[in-house]
Amino acid sequence: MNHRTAVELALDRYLADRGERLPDRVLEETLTAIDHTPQRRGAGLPWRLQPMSNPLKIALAVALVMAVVVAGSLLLQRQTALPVAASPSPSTLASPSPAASAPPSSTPSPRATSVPSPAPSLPGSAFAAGPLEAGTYHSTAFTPSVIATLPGGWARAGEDRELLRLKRGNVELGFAHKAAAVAPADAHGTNRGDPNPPTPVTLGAFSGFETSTTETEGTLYIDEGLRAYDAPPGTGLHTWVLDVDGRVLTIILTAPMAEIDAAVDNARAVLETLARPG
Amino acid sequence: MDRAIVEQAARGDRDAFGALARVHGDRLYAIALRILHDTSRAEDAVQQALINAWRELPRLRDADRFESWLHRILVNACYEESRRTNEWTSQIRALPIEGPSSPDESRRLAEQDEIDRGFRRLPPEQRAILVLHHYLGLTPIEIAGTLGIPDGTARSRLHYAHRAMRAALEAESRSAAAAEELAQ
Repeated sequence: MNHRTAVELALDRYLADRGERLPDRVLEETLTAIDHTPQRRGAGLPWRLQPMSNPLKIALAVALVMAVVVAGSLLLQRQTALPVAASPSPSTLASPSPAASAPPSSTPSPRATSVPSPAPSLPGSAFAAGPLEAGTYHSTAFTPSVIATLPGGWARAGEDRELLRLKRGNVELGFAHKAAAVAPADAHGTNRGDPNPPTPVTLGAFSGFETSTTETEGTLYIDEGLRAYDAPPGTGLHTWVLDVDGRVLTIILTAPMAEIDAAVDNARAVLETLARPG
Repeated sequence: MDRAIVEQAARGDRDAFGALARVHGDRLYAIALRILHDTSRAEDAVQQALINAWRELPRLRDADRFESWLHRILVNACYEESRRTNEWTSQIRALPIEGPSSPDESRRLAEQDEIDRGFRRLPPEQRAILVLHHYLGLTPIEIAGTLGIPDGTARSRLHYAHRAMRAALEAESRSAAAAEELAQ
């Protein structure tokens, strides 16, 4: 008898098909990347479907260990023969880009292709995936473009048409659009956890209001524009809702409660640089 | 139908691979979305998986196993994506605009919310095995074939994933009860 437990039945429902579709943009970017990606032929082990037996695994592991030992001793012999080892170049160490430490490859990174070419009228560089050097950046997929000047230490963790996410340590700053007029009640009325009353604010070229709260449990509704915020209990949240030329920009900051005050100050310093495109 | 196209793609035919990507893209995205719980990370994982698949395709021995092979590449891409961004402590996700229309709907949403939070507590490896079983409907033996692990390992991983999910749900219930007590 095929007896399914309550948890299994709940998982069946939770993971059921909902007809999700891969955005055409992603498929097109992937196929463009593939146009420049060579196939690997010949060398290497072909993919196998059958799991290896344990004796074979052990034999391979022993062979691998021996190869490492032999290679290591050869390397040591070589190092003792060389009087001075070359030190790494300072330019390599100074670069925050992960690509700087990656081995050269003829294959373009998919993430590199996911950032469209910057529009000429936008100041600074496009937010590229990964660590960002101090400087001015603009969003590309997320429009209208967010333009901000960042100190060092931030990284772009994601960008699409709906959401731009920046991260610095445990602090996350998310930019989302809301398709309704700016009204404090929109955010205040739908937040759970008894947020502080919203207060008017002007940041860079834009005005709106800000509010803060602490997530206690369940899903925290930020607004009615399809976006909801879900954070672990005890997370500190601070929200800015700005009127960007008639379009609502919701900016959500999360950080551990112990860091929230400093995080808000740091984020505010970034948001005060928000500028209009063109 | 796939076999001939897979063989063409393995010989370097980019149009054939494009056709395969179009056929399998939505399914790959749905799997990645369930494992990673984040649209842009799921998109990145699918993109990386398809590029890896293109690169490695000439080394696939049995074209009939293309889909299973592709799923393994995707799961590995999800692990990699998860490791790359595992410092994230929160996620923004889409919810329906309208609230629940009936008490039953309300209960269903509450259950959904609880299981969602429980699922997010699991490591990506356990999420992946649950997705392969509950979304793709794979048996432990098929999961073993897809992930390239022994049957017994697949069975025990699935067992532990269910157990972890049960524990996560219990932990969620306890914290919800504690919050209710505090509120009273």
